[in-house]
Amino acid sequence: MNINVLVLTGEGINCEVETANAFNLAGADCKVVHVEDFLEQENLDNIDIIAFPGGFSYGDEIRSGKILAEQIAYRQRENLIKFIEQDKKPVLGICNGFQILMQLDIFKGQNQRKLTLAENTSEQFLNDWVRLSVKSSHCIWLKDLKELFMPIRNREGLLSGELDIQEQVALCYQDPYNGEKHNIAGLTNLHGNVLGMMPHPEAAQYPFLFPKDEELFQQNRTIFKNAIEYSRRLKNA
Amino acid sequence: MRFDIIKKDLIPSSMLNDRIQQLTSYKLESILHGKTYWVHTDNNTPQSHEICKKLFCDHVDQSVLYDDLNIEDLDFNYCVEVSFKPGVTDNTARSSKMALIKKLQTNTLEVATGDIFFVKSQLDEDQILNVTKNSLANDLIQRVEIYNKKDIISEIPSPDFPKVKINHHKVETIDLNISDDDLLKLSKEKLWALSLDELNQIKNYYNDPNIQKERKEKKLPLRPNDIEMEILAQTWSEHCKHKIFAAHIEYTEDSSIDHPIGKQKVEGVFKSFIKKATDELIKNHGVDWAISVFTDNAGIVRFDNKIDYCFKVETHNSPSALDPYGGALTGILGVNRDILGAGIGAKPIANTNVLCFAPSSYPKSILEQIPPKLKSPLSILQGVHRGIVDGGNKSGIPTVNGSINFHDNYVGKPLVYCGTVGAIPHTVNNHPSHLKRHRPGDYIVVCGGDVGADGIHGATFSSLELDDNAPSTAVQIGDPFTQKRLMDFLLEARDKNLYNSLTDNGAGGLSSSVGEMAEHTNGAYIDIAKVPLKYQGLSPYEIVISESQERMTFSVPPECLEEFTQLAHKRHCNPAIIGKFHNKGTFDILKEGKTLASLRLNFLHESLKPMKLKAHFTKSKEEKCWYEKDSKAPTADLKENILKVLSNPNIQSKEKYIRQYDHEVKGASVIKPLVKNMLSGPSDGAVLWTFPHGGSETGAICITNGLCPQVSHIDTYLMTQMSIDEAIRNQVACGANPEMICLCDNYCWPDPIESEKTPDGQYKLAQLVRSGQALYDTAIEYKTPFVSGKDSMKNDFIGETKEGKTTKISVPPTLLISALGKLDHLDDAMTSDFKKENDLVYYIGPDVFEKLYFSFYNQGIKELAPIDLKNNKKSYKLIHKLIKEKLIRSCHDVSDGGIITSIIESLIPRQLGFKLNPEVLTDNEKLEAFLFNEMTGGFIVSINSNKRVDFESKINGIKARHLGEINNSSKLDLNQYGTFEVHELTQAWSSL
Repeated sequence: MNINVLVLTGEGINCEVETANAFNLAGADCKVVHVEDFLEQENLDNIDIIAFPGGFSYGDEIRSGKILAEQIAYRQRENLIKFIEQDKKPVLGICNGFQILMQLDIFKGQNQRKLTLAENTSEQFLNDWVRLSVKSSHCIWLKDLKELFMPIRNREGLLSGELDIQEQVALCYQDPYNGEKHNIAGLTNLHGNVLGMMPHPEAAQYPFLFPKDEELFQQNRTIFKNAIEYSRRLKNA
Repeated sequence: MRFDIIKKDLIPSSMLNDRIQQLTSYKLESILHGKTYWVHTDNNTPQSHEICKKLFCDHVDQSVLYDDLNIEDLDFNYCVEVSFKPGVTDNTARSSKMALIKKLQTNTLEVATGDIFFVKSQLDEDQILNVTKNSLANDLIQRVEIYNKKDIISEIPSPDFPKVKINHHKVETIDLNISDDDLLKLSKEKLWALSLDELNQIKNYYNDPNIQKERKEKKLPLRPNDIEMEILAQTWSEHCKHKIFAAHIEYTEDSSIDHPIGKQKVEGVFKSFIKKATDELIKNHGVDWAISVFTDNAGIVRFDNKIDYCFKVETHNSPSALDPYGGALTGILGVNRDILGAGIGAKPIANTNVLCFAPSSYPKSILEQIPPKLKSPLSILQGVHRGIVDGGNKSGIPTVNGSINFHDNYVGKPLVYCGTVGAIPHTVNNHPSHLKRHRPGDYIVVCGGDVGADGIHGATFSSLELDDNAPSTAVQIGDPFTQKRLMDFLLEARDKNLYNSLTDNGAGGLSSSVGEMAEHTNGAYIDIAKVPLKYQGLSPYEIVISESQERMTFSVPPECLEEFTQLAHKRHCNPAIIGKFHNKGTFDILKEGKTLASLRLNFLHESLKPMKLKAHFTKSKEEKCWYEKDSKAPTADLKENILKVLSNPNIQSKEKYIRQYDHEVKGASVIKPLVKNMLSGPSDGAVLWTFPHGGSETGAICITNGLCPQVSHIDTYLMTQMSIDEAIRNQVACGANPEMICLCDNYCWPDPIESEKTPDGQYKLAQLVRSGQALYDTAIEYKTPFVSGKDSMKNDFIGETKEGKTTKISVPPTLLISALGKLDHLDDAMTSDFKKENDLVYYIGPDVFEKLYFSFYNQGIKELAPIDLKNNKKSYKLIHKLIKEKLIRSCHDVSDGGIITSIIESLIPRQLGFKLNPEVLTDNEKLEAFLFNEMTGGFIVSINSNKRVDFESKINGIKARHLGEINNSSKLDLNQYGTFEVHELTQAWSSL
């Protein structure tokens, strides 16, 4: 059974190739679609998974992810909410993609959004590798996973605000990374079908890209496989 | 409407305060940073206010001043507002406008942005202004307002909205039939940078009866007009035409010099050395993979069975001296466009940058001697670095290789080398993709940003020395986002076969891009009324030569025009059909159909005769530092000497700079700029996997560089050999095949033309000839062709010292060699770090330990370690073989800092220990020379001790010696000479 993945590109997104490759490697059929073309789509019914890759949408101006989120909210919000809440299909946001999902209020619960992604305390961009612990038992992307190792590359990845629903924490840094006291690296929604994360699993799919502990590449592949298997079950049901 | 956005937590910025302290030696009590947005619209309703507020302010952690936050709650005594001067690119404003235009439902919308700082300090207002101008703002492009708290209790007065006001200019005709002196005066006044010979050649062209007849028919004045003069000045500029590299040079040398190359007549440094080496390698030595060299925007090589690689390195020195951030950012984006414009459009896959500055650690006493118009070395470093960070990161191109070098005499002009590697399929839509194919009848379509007054005279300005009166229009700020849109569109249009050819708009603007493409079709016209402008009022010549960024020129066949422009509109790339290629032999400028200017292409491109110059080499001159400098010889204490070498800024870790570059986007970085295990050590180069870019699944390429300006004053011949060797040796250390390496040369020289300002021009030109000769000799010996290159020949500063004396500071002759190589297999990728205890360490390289040579350890010595290219090449081939046979576990080159530095750098990542073999030296050899000498051809390798017999039998034919063994003691044990803690050495190396 084909699982159709839509990977967004354009308007400053820049990790679409490796993101699509990670899904393909896990057995999906990926389409890389320009934001403008995505915004024109009447519905999202033929799509099984949507991925918001990393990048610098609109040059990261004002606040990372903000302007692209505004564009989507203006033209495609209802379809996206249906995709997530009604159809319960998987959505992944990596780095800038996570920032976009955050600004789209995907993680807000019932009331006004109380969280945001702010500038790291170093006030600088940082490219390094991080070890992550999986904290969520209900996030479909992280099923059966415990520990992950992958690159991280951002300047605005510090989770700020009030965290009132603990189950939403999906991933934590094992060592302090950006100055935030809970070391949160990723969030999920209540149903667990959305994952937003700052580190880049799509850039760590092959052992030879690892600086060390290269056997952990399998775990990063599992993230994408999990979503595809979930989609298969969803389609069968 | 005005919005001042402040963080809710009101936590002051320690980064800014640190920066201010570093740059100005003042420390503020606190500084809180906010962002300001001004919105002008006719739709000035409360709803509009809410829409804007929602966009600019994230309610979770930000407040709007006066709205959600009382100014009394802020602890400050000065409020400093920094905003852009009119006409300067404001990227945040541009993006904000895109977000607001639909929501506010208005067509009259202007947005401007600025930074606002709330400062608490005992300094007086003048001091605060001084601090601002030296650390928070650049006078050339930004304006500053300072308020006291009491002035802004109810509101902050808004400055005038930055609007460009230009008086309309008409086309002017110019009389060239004037005296020679007046001609030269005119050329300087107009920033044409044309010589008297060139001016006379132009004069003769216009006095030619045939030309006059042609001009009458076109209803043009007989005299040249400013459009034509500007096109000629841009096209003939040193920057575009490389006149010094094409000059015919008579070279002579004293008989007493050390490495004579013999009296000779050089028919152009480029033709006689660089191109000659490549031509011979292709013709006689089987280099069949260099498929496009020197003709296009970038060199193109075939290292893969599916894709080709394009390679180009540029410099952006003068702009970076004036506005370090904007200059470097524009440099990166500019070289990216060279790749986008290579063949029928390649995809940039990696950036490199090599930066040269004066030491950033000058004490106050030296800083005070820097000519007042120059920026401090640290502020240049920080600005350039931020530009490189944004240029690469925001474009989604990993910054994978580079270096930061320090030398006193870069104080007058920093050198900013920006390189890009691109990938392109062998064929696109069944056409060989490295061939351009525009033809008469194609439309000329420009896409990307609009044209403004920014970047006027960039090409001619960079062909002059930097002085105190640099024009602010030569400065511009790049916009990575606009260019990213253009890049995505371009590749999409390429794959849909919507255009025939393209080139980038860089130096010289449309006059260069269309002018050069027109050479192939033998003619073109453009109508300046069709060129999209940022604002009205530009004179026609300005539209033609403006270097406003993020634009590409496409050649679109009539049958694709509609689809091409539709797609460009949809991708927000602002297409404008500005003209057509023809074959009438002229380049014509029209306005609304009426001809304003016309030049014959053969005159424009082929009439320039080579300059005739003389060069003479005498005994090497002492290197003069720009200030009175005492050099210190090494002391007797070995530990102190090792720590001193490790903490030399040229050798020290650059991790804090490198980690701010995204070096892994695109998921192809196999060897990254830092080798990390527990800690980070340096890599010799970058290795990239080819598969993510459409190449083979097991393929990889390697990117490295070599640069040795510290020895230029001894001899540029040897400097050149060392630079090429360093780049190639780094390739070999990373696992590349030494038979599959191509090079790119980038010369940054002080002005080498003898004149009143440059009395030593003949010597500097001789240094250039010697470098060219070495370039040829070394490329032939190593069989490494040059595929692309660039030269920047006016890297001098002439200006006033604090005391009002005129001073000249020239950069040391600097040659960057960048190398792109092929790995036979991805698995050959090799890193520099020692892997395991009990592994054995060997030195492979020449025996040069009987005496001390010039090195970072002792820069007072005037002799360089002997160079033997033949033997080097032999060991490179062998090392390559041993890497492929998996006999080598780590490989690191020996360069700045000598053998001891290489060993320490290899120990750092895993914090391992090393014990030196007590019998490593022969009786005639000196420990000091062994530890610190810097040579060509040297490597430190480690092997599994079980493979010792196999390894030693195989290195029989080359110079090598067993140095010692790796252990887990975390100590560097040099026997009777001392034992040192690796963590202490690491600290010295990493504390930049």
